[in-house]
Amino acid sequence: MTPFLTFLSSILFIAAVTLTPELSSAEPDKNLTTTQKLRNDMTLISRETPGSDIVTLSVTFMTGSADESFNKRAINELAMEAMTYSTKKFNKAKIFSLTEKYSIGLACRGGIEMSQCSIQTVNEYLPQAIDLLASVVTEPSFNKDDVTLAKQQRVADYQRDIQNPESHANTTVNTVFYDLHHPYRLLPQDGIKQTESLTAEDLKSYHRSLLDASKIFLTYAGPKMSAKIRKNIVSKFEKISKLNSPKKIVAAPLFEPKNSIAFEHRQIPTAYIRVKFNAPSILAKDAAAADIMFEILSQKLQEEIRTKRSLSYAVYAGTIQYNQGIGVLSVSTSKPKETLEAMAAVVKSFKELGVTQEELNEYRNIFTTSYFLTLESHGSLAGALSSFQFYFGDAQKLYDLPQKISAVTPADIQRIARDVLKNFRIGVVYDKEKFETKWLDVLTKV
Amino acid sequence: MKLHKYFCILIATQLFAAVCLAQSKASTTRSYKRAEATNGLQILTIEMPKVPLATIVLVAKAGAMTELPETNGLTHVWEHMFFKGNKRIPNQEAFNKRIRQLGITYNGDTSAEMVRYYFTLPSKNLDDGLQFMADAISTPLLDDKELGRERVVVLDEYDRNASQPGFELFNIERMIMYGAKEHLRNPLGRRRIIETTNRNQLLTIKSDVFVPANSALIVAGDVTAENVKTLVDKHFAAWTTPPDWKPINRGPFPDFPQTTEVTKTHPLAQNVTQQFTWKGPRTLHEKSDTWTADILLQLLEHRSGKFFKKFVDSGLALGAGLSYHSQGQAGELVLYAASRPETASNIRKALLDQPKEWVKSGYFNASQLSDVRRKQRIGYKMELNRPSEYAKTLAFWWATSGLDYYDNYLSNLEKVTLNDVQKFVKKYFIGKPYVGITLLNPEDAKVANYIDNSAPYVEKYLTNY
Repeated sequence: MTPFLTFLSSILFIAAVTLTPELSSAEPDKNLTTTQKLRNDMTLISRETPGSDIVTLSVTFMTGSADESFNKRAINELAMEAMTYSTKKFNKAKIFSLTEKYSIGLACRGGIEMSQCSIQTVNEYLPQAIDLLASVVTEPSFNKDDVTLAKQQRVADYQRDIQNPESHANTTVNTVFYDLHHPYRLLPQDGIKQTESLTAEDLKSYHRSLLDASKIFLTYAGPKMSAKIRKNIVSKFEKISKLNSPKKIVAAPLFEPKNSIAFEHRQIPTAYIRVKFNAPSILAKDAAAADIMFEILSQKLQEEIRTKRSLSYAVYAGTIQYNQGIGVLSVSTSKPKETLEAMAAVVKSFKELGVTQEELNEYRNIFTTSYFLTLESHGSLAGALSSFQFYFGDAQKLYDLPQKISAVTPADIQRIARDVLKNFRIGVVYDKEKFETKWLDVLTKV
Repeated sequence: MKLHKYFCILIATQLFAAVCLAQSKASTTRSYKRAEATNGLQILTIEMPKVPLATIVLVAKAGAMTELPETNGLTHVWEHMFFKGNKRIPNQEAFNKRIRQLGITYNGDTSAEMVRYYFTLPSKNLDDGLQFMADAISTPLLDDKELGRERVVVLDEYDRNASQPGFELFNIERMIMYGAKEHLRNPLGRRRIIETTNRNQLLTIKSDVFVPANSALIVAGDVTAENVKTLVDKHFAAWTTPPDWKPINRGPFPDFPQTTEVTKTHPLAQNVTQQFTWKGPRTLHEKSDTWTADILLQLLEHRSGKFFKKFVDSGLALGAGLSYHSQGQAGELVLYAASRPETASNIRKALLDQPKEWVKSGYFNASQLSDVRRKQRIGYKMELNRPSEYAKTLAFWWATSGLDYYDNYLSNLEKVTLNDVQKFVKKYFIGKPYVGITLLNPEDAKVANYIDNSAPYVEKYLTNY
């Protein structure tokens, strides 16, 4: 999973809240959000943030590595990296000069299902920033030197993932969670090979496929947009043609009991264990309930494994909500046997006993705080609106989430726990002299 | 002040990894209101009702710098115990339940010069939230049984750090730089000390540093200064500073050592990381130099500048820069680069030659200086945009450098000239000793023609560590 999509999924996760009295003040937030259709059918979402002159403007491509063939998935991240280096209108020196002079934060990031280019600056410098963003999105150069440099940076990023034991545990479980051709699979070692083989021509061709107005939308968060700025944005992005290219349908990863465990030897003092399993899609009617279910499970794991048993500093459960949902359990521990037994006991008990209404209410309180933290800054607000636009076709659905959460019942939580907490695929990174894979049986049999 | 992404020294209790953070600095326009509680606790209120939330940060001037060699790491253990029971809340299970009832998201962190506890909750719960914070800081039970359990959790956190390829090398570097007082820069502490922590040690730490006179409370968001002051007086009154209390001063560090370079191989290192550390200015001592240090590092980051072009844009390095972490009592100027092994040797030479380049006329220019100043001002606006984070930033500056330093930061930055930068480089870099470390894997060492010379340092510093 790329850092970008980790960020996006966390936004979605954060945004899941319940309806509380505070949320009455969310109604004005909703009224501050408007959408406009451009002539090429592209959507411009605009969220006014009174009292601040900071602006975030992002361009979301409804395309990610999952839309590419299995041996070319690294092209998405590489193209995004290289896009900001130079364009037809702005050579590299000009981009550097502009971003430094006007303190414009410019970034393009790839992801599994969607990708994004964005700028952040103050309102005073927005015209210059819009020009730059539009050029980066529509006419990147992808010259040879830029591509060579971008490739070097991408390879280094993959290498950092390999070096970090926690990221590597994620990679390890991915080797058994996804089959070779699953659209979500992109291991760092494969990413390095693919990146090294890609050419400037590959990136140019890929970029042409990105420029489809039916698969791009814009998100603005900042002061009330002036007519002049709106006209500027519209004119820049209305030129992009509408192609209506098809969207790939992603199937849930298949469970193969005989290929559900992966172990990677490293002589390190604590074991990193990561478990993955299928979970509700972000589009499923149970998505909100699943969010709460994972949050409660996470708290229960922490209570038992960290607080009561002192087996780990870091244990948690969570969900990554793409079109296909992914459940995650994660722990680091120097007592893996005891920890796995304790995790299995918590999961089993959770499935059997569920939660009380009181517990559910308590977790809703936490969601309320997280929800407003999402609305607090321009960056996270724009990110959340973009996610809802991408998955639901309507950014305003962000503000409906509280009602969805408030409708969740203890029975929903237990039903989802029983449906979802099974068919675990497990990745372990640890010293082979200190670990026996049979210890995992207790978890695989839950 | 910025930390680069390869190295960091801040430990977060509830997060799952050590966190690197760069705290930006302030404008000349004060964004907070200042008051003092009846018990002497400093109160800083940031009135920003963007969303119906309040963030409460309690910060103390404590951390590695207030420890002894035999208690190194225990302030961090204390930080963990903060989240356990107190007189009103009997144990951590009840503590966690109260957190959920109040809708609190929380964390804490310990560094060399600061301990912070912070949480965000709906602003309607501000009264309860302040009571919750007051109980936790003033009446912790520090129960032996709870301590025994939490010690193991802290050790797992320690082991996660020790699982990183650079762990031993960074410990060696710190020991070379700070000699007998290296523990004052090591908030994580030593494993064997953590293993034997006892309640009396923690009680001593509490009375030494966790007192109102050594702490500040920062409250930000949908709040008013007047209400915050009233509530703080209501809930924190019983927390008092002992009459004979004095701030801890562990004395000066030994002289910076002679130039030393250590190369260490580790099979899991994926690239070559090199860093060279010079003694730098401290915010409590060489103030004006700290402003110049910040200007210098941002000039080096400037993407139209010569440094960026030479090391980053050219592809010579995977990343390179100068890091300077503003601290009151110790200053480190770290010039670093990550690279492939083929270019490691050239990069080492080029990095070490850099300071002589920086003093040449035309290396930096007035336009770049102007950009850097503008960037600082805009950066400050961005920081204010997120009150829940800004409260933590303000806590950092209160603890490490003082609010006078922080309040006047931007105006002082405006006064730094390119001539000041040249003087600074001559004062701190040229002809001055440095400590260099290189981390790479054995295969890359062959390609780079580097030799692992770490054995005597490992023996000297890490035996019985």
